[in-house]
Amino acid sequence: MIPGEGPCGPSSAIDMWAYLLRRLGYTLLTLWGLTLITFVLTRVVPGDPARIAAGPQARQEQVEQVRRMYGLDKPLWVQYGIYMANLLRGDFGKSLWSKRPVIEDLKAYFLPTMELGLTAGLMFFCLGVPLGILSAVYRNSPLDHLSRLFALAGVSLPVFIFGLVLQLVFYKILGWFPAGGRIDPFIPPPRHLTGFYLLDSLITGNWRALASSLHHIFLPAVTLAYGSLAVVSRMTRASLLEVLGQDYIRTARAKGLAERVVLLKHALRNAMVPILTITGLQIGSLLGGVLLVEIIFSWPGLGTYAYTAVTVLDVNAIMAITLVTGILYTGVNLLVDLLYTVVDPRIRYR
Amino acid sequence: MARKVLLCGVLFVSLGIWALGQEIPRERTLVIATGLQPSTLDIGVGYEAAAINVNLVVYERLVRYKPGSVEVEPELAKSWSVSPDGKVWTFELYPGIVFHDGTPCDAAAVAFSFQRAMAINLGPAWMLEPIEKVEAVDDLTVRFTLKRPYPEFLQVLANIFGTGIVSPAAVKAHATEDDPWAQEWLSSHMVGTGPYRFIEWVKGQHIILRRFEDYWRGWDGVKNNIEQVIIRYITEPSVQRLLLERGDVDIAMDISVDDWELLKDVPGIVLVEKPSMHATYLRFNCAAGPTADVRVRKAIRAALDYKGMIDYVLRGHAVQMQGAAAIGLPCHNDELPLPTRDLDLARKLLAEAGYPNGGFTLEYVYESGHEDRRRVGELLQASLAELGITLKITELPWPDLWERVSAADPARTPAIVANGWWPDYADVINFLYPMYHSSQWPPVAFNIGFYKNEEVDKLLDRAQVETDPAVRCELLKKVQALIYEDCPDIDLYHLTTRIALRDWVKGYVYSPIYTEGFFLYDMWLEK
Repeated sequence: MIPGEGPCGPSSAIDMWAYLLRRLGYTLLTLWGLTLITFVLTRVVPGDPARIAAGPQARQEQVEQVRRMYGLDKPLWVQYGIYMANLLRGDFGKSLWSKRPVIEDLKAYFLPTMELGLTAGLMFFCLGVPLGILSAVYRNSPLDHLSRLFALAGVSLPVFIFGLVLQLVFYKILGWFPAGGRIDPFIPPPRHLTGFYLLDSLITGNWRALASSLHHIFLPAVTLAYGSLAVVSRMTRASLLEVLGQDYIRTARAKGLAERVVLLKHALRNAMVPILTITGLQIGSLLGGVLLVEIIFSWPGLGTYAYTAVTVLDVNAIMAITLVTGILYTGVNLLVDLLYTVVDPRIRYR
Repeated sequence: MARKVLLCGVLFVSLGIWALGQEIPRERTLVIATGLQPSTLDIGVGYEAAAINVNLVVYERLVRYKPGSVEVEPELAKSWSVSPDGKVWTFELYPGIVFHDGTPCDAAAVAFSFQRAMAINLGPAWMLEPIEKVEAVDDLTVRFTLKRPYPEFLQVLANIFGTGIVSPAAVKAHATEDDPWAQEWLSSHMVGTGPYRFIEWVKGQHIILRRFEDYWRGWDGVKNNIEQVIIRYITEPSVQRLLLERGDVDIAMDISVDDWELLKDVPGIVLVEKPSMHATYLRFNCAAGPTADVRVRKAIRAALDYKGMIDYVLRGHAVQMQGAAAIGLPCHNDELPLPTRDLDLARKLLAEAGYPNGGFTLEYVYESGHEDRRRVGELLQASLAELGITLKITELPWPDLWERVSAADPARTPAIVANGWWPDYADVINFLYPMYHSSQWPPVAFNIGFYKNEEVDKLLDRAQVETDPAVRCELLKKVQALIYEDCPDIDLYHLTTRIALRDWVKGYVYSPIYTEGFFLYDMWLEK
């Protein structure tokens, strides 16, 4: 991020595009570096992927057959060249573990992770910001104290303990929500359009699947969102309080603007930059938390797949998981940087 | 206001649809929770315990292990015969068997299935290596010609990996130029002849099976009322317990030791615990370092507290092994002694070996995730400390561990490796040959301690081709006695298999070989 203060002018749009292109270039370079490092690491760590894939009692000749099949017998740089050439065609190779194209496994496991992550992201942003605003407006009131307590618990409570407690209360004791899974196994999943059950069932009008998906995603999303919600609400409060003390807010109030307008139009917009920064960081940290939440709630996501890929040295799967996660991280970072200009036109990029 | 009306409408419609009856009611659905998901459903490729439950009911084999036993009985084949030289096996099939896709399962289909597994040459194919050719003699007769006598052939055919019969029509329909055996399609589909047919696999979530109405054994006169089976993948054992307690699943496969104790007091839950044939060993490096001396190996065997290991380390969920092969298998040597702790003997043996006060360090390596092996290592560490031997415990992930033990150089192999072994089929040779024959030294196979006894090699070579079962059994029992005497490892324990069921699940019989499997045709629900 290279934000700089400067006047808005006719050149700002051009600057913006130049910046965007430059950032995309950096992103591609980063991702290329990621493929190189991961590729080398997966090949130099101890263990023979071909032996593991061939099966524990495989004869040497079977192991060699697997090695040839996956091109693991070629020199490292040739393997990397082939991998990159295939990657540019959108081919992640075949999984040594499942023997299926990695892209098929990614579709099955990455999309549920994305759905859970995005739902949790939406949840913490849409609840965290209003909670922060309320805390700022009613500063040092019982509501603010309650919100502080809530936030403190959110950042202190480990995700897995929180998840297990929710499960115990809302599944075992109250029976309101299911203990795990993505949809009731008695209900057929919606037709695959985006791979997100919520969206797909909404688009296809499959209300039964929608209700079940909502029912199932609620507890894991709350578990995942809670910690970030706490952070975002506190950041919103602090940032808003700082802006509310500025002269132009006093001027706005002096002009007789309604408090709602002062707050939402003048103050909040200027307080958004740090909130966006923290939101971007929190989305990144969600990716770490989501793996734990997936295990607790039997969410069929990337966590278990990634764990298995590492333990069985499924080199193609490890590459794909790292790359996709890298794309997600860099994408979120870029998006947040671009959003700065939307919320604060004074920021321009060079 | 309009928005509120719309929201209420959507909610109402959702609830209405929710309330509509489901296709197959819960009362006639068996729900199984397990943490293990197979990597592939391909019967010719898959080679992991996670696939046993689906393989056992979707596919059928020529023969199978009788429920609750290691005895072989007919499945698709009603009878069989073997030539006097043990090299030609002929199987007669039952008539009228059909695949789930409606095509007939005849001798040609059986031959095709084996040809497919052998051509793919992955995972379980090593067991089929002695087959020279397999052919259909007529519609109902299939003949195997072997390269050499293969006394355990029938046991191999009954095993769950690689021997299930798959529909040739389904394979051909999904074969491509690059994938002539339709491996990609069959990695997530199944077409067999079993009592349940495959419906769907939502990865990470569940596999659904439905009763196959045209099942060749028929459904008349059986107690089975299970129309649908849902195998749910629940990774967290404590969640499996919660689901079982509330009756949302009928069977839980992975109950932790702590939860097991708690479930004992819960009404309506039946707990089944049986010793498995899974064996855990401490394998010594017999070719380098202090453990190359048999007296040191025996001293370490005499130092371990076996009772403490079973009662406290494993909290009673294991039985002590007797020799190198699993208890309960045919030809297991029941006369071998069970080692006990004898520190005086250990000190005497060490002194004879030239280490009266110990004074050396050994490395103990175990695979990550095996808590039992870590605790056994700690127990051994304490025991050996009394003899003046220092034990350094190293935890390694499986690929790293494999790297360490598959080196051809014994100097790189750790002194002691904690190692587990599952029998693929019910024959002691499945333990003895890969782990104790000197041709199986690393990097070839699993004789990871570089153990060599020419007499053992000779006896095993003979047992591999001996067609007289009684003579073969004597040979194999002798091998076990020799191995015990040479002490290339400490035979530790068989962990128990624990399965928790709701009391409305009836007809379950534990299978010592298909440990994770259920003979669903013989089961029913009483809700």
